[in-house]
Amino acid sequence: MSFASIDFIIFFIVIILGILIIQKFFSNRVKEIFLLLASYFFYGYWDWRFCFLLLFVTVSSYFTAKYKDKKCFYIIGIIIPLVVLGFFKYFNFFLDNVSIIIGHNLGTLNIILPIGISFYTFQALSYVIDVKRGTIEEEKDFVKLALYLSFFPQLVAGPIVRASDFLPQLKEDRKLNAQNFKYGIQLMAFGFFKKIVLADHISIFVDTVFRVPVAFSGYTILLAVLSYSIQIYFDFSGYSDIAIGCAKCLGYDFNKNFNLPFISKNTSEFWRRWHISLGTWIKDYVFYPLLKSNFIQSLNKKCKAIFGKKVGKKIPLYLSMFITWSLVGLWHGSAYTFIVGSGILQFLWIFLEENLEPLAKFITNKLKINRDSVIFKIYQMIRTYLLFSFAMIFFRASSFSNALQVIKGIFTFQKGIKWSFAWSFISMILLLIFTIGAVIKSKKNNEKEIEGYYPIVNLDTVWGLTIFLVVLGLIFGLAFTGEQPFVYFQF
Amino acid sequence: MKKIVVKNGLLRFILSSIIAFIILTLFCVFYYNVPPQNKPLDGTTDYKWKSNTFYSRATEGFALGKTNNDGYVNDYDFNDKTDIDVLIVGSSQMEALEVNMNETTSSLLNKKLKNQNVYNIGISGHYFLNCVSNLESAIKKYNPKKYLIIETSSLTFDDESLIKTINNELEEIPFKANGILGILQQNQFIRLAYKQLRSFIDKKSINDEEDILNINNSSNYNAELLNKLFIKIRNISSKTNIIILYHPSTTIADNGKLILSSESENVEEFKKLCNQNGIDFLDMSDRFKQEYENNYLLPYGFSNTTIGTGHLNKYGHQMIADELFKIIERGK
Repeated sequence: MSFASIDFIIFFIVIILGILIIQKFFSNRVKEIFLLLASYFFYGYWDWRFCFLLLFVTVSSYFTAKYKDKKCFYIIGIIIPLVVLGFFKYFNFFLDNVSIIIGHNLGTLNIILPIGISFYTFQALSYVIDVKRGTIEEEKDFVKLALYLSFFPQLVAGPIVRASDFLPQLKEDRKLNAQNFKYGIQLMAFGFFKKIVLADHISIFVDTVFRVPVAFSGYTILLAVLSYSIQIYFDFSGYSDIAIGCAKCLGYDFNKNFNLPFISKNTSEFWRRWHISLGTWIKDYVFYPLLKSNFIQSLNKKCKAIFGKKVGKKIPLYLSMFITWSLVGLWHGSAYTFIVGSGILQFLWIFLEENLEPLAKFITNKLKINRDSVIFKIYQMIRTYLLFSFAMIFFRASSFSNALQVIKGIFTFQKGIKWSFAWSFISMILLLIFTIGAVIKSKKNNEKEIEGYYPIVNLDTVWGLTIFLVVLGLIFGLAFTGEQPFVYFQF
Repeated sequence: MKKIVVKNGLLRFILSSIIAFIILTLFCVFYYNVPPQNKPLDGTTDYKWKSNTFYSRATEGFALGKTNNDGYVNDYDFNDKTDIDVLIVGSSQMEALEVNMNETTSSLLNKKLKNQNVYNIGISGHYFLNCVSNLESAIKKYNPKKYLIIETSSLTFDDESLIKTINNELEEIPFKANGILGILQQNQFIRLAYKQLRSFIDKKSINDEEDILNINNSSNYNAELLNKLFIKIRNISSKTNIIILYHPSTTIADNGKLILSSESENVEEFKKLCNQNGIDFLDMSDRFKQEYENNYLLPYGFSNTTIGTGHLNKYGHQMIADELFKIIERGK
């Protein structure tokens, strides 16, 4: 069941009413079971068979964490989610590659990719690892663990919620109350606006241009590329806002998943602000363990011995980064375009930004450019946005040849249809307005870093409620009503 | 802004809802403002718009305009003394609510044909056969002196509809402005919300007034029945020249070439049948293709929705007006 559907609205109303009744007449335990069943219903709405897979991952995590002291159980606890993910998401990709290597077509299996598999398997993994590391206690209550892994707001497209953040909330007396609801419903509205008004409209333009780039002018292709970054931001951050708002309505808190990524001055900062839950997960469970691994440590020693301390220490670091970013790319999809777009190119940008920084400083000093000036910061933001957008060409393209057609179209100033898509400009202007608003707010509050914010109004006042109702009316009136699934569902 | 405190939650909600509704209605004045429907007593079309009514459209294209005193989209009002030289009948493509009034085929043709009046009674949902059904009444009322132009985007007609049209039995387009529906459609926000809700439920993008063009994969018509229909048209409009304006649907193929629905329709035979009955046939295929290949212009689509599909844009109207002008000039 997609958030952007009438079915979900009906489902959500039923959940709210159900919780209100349960809170009034029954215990917290009933509420947990109700939410668990609702979550499985939500997931099974796509395909009921997926529920068994989710249950399987849950059961394996529950028992392997329970016997965490036995190494084999721990390994099984890690392997099962990985095998599930690997089989459903990467098996055909693996077969394709083996076919190419051996020069014999092995064919592919007809595997349906279960929605949200990358998200809940990651949650299951982090749970087992955290229990083993002693960061959290194993959850003795199966229902609570099952609810953590299947909780419908974050089940299919994140944010990737940590057990340490969510399980304690289940032990508290969290309530659906007016305060939470008023806040949560506004987050949801904000998310819906991003998704069904902005992202879905842009998708018409981007899809058309990427389908047949040879038909469009260089200007139009460039606009489509720049629009795609904005589309995917509004799509995914919109989904996250709906998920966070939905959980908030029910009394639970999720961390922010996006924090104004387009104000980032370099790619590293960008990824600290973009899909935060994935970034921190990868850092904690892939990058740091890899850096501390025996292989990298011994490589570190060898490189220092050969290349000296300064250069030698960088080689294992960048190798770890390269592996990590490649995995990030692979997480997004089982295709080389994903590995390049959201993995290797991101690594390359970070590598270049870090290593060209001394040269950039030298040039700006020579040219007497004030690096602290607003103009220079804007230049850095635009540069980061352009680099990200360029990488996203591969991410969006159906193949490498498609990506190359897009790039060629831009750089050869290709002649073709000129299409200045209005929703691209509307979205960019709105993004700019909200960003300026966030900058002003952060300055006003003397915040060290510019933080994103939600435009929350007080629904206890006539004007606050009026604004909210107008926004709801606009969302409904302006919404793109065609079929347009959330981009991150496929991951 | 002064903070208004209303302690009663229900009262606060009602008050806020009313204010929000007014604001949204005002927004729709410029975003989606379709005139209410009227039932014409003269039968020129199955329905028309409320006369002298401002309209705006930003859901597909950006356009503003005003219906004339007759309830159609024209540069001028109609009265008994108006001499009409060219009458255009057709669907929403000729009605052209998506482009500004001065960019429609009829307006452009009016400017080109100096000292001649072009009058447009194109209305949403009036496809070729609906137009033929209403033709007798339309000719009786407007009595065009020189040309009758009937617009179509498809050359595919089923036998049943052809027979019904020949026998004057074709069903009328359902009139939607009666009763509560009629009252509700006076408010533009309700109208927009209804359109959106219907699309959400259907989970497909419904363009305005259900007038999306589909690419026909195959053409199909019974030549004998079609010939009878043309004889009927010729008899109704015996004193004027008749042009059937055919503008095929377009789509861009994966290799960037423009594909026209005319490529899969039996255009030549249709043209032959027209000529046999003394009807001019204007096929826009070549012009559309030429404009695309030379100037990268597409006749359909807008900057806020899709391109290549949907309604005619200002370039499409311009191309059609040019070609109609050529035929009319040749026929002088």
